[in-house]
Amino acid sequence: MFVKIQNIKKTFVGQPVLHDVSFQLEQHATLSILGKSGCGKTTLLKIIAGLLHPDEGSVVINDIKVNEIIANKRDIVYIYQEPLLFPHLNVFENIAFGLRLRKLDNNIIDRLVIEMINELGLKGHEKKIPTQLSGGQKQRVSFGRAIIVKPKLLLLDEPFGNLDVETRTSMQLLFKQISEIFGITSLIVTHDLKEAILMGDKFGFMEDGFLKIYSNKTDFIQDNNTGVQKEIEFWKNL
Amino acid sequence: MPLFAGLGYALLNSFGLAGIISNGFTLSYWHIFFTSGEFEKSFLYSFILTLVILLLSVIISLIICISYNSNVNTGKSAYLFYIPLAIPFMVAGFLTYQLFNPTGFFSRVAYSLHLTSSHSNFPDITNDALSIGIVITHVFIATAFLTILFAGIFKNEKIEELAILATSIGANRREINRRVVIPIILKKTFPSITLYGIFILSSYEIPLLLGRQTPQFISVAIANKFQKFNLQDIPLAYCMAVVYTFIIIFILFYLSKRNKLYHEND
Amino acid sequence: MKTIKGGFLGLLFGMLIFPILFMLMLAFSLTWRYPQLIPESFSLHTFLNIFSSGSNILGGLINSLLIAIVVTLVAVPLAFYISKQVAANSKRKYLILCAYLPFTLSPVIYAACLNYYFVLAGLNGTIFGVILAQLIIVFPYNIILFITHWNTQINSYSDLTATLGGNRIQTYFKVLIPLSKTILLIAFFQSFLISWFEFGLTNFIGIGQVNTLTIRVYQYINEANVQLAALSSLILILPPLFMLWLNKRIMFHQI
Repeated sequence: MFVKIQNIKKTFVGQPVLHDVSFQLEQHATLSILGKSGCGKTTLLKIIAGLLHPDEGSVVINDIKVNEIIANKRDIVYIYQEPLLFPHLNVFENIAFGLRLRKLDNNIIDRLVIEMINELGLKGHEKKIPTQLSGGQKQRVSFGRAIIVKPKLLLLDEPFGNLDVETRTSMQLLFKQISEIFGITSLIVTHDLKEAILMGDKFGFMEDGFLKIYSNKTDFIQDNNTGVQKEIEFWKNL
Repeated sequence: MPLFAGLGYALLNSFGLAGIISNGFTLSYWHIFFTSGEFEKSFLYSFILTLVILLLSVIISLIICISYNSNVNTGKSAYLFYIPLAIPFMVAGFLTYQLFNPTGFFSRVAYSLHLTSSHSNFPDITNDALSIGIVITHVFIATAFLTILFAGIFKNEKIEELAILATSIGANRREINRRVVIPIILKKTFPSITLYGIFILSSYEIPLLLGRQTPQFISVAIANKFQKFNLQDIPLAYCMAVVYTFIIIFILFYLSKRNKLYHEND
Repeated sequence: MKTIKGGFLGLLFGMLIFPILFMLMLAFSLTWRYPQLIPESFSLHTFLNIFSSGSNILGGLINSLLIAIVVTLVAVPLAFYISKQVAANSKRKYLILCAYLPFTLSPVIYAACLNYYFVLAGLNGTIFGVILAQLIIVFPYNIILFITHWNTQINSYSDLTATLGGNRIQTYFKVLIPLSKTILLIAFFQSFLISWFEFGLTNFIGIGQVNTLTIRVYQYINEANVQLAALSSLILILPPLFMLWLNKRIMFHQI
């Protein structure tokens, strides 16, 4: 397995936030974790990214234990709910940011960034600064910036939460497309049921720091805890 | 931290354990400190004056902000309120002296208007018993500072919009000022006003130039004791410095406890 | 009613500008006998005197500039870096309380308490000693200025840059410093002004051997040399006036 998360425990100020969380993920696959606010999903992502230390447990990527490796050397990119574009850089430079950190040749950077801009449907917007972009465009730039550095693992923390319904749907489809093209391995946490089902190849449900992984989509849908059955009943009874 | 090193030395000196004339542990300086009453008089004088200055400045600033909100916040006239802040205390004290002393500018104006017949008829409000000169100088600068501060709150807290809302509920202008505008401004700026009050209390240059002989403003009193030739005064000065420091620490601690010093930013 | 209000506003603005005009008048006056409302004669003599070795104003100006620039260039970047660590510290409330102390306490009292150590180290009466003493006040001031800057959003940018592969230096220079441009400029201006205006502490630690513009003003006041006092006061307030104007413009653009 490409990603192995083993027995992660975390406590904050005496309060347990993560209880023995474990799961595995194949390369190029997407794991959707459904969970309400406060269930510990952001803490889990930050531990995997190396932004927080677990009290116990290990994070193994491609058979290498990365616990002691600092965040900027893990090749794991974290995407926030807010696009967090750098306000002092335009679209081109925002996407190029990670490549510039790696001190790649300028010609290579130009080529890669232009390819990504085309893939994201942002042609013509290269010189715009973030305040000139719509919510959906900002999120595209955020994806482009993350994916262009070819991370081993992409972590998405409610990436479409800020968007309206229509934009959200188009962004979900775009992400699936980009993921396949670039062969990204990713972990998405969301409180949106539909999003979890649409985006994932594998599924999990998190509550109060406990994570349950399902062997397939059917099991996920059948489990009463996930709320899918309730949703189906609601639409049936209308 | 240097402060604690300095405080530590000050304490040692006050107990006679350090310093040029130290002779071993003694409580004699602390005895003089508590019996002479000099510190209490200075501190009380400084404290009362500070309160008067703050009160006047807050009232004037509120009036300016409420009456002239558009002028204070926008346009070229907004820059003018920054001018007093460009004037250091030393220069402000000098200006007050030149304007208000018996042969100063306003005395000459009074003479020209036949309000006085000579410079001795003009009231001396520099180095006077009521310290009017100190009050005027500090109020001039503090009003500018507070006006800018209050104007910022006006904008950030959307006070105009709240006032409109209050009007639609049935409040008149006076009620809006009393129940909405002034409470919001004062609540939001309480830490800044208190800190500015501590600045005034700790000020040195203005009381140095315009203060009375006794009692002196606290920082002037302490500095004078340090700089005079009477070596016996130095441990006493340290006593005063130590007590004054603890008073300030207490005030800051109280503010900090009420979470007023640091707002968690999210 | 509108006329009265407008009248008061005009009066207010007049009061704000008047001190500058009055100082200009004093600085270039030659004789001003009582009860003349304005000086009988004006002269450039005092102004030209600045450039003579006797006046010491030029020396004071250079020292003031030197001290203010050094204090600013050291205190601001140091405080920018350390305030981030303080903001992340669990004991930050106590650290911030400590930071408030040096500049809320009267600088002259602070200087008096520290004087012993300065004498021991032989820093009394030296420019370096004055710079160090001022740093002890300006540095914590900047900590307090920067501490509220490190909010959740800017910390998120920091984390994001780390996950994109940026090391600490890259994070500071490519992200944090550009994002903090406004507050850094404000810090530079305000630190410069604190040092530029400083008198009590400079006088105490400098023991009359370090000549700054504020000390010059005080000496001329003591000597009752009104013209020189006014002129050196004008020189003293010019940079702050310019900086406050710049400061206001920057803050204006941020709102």
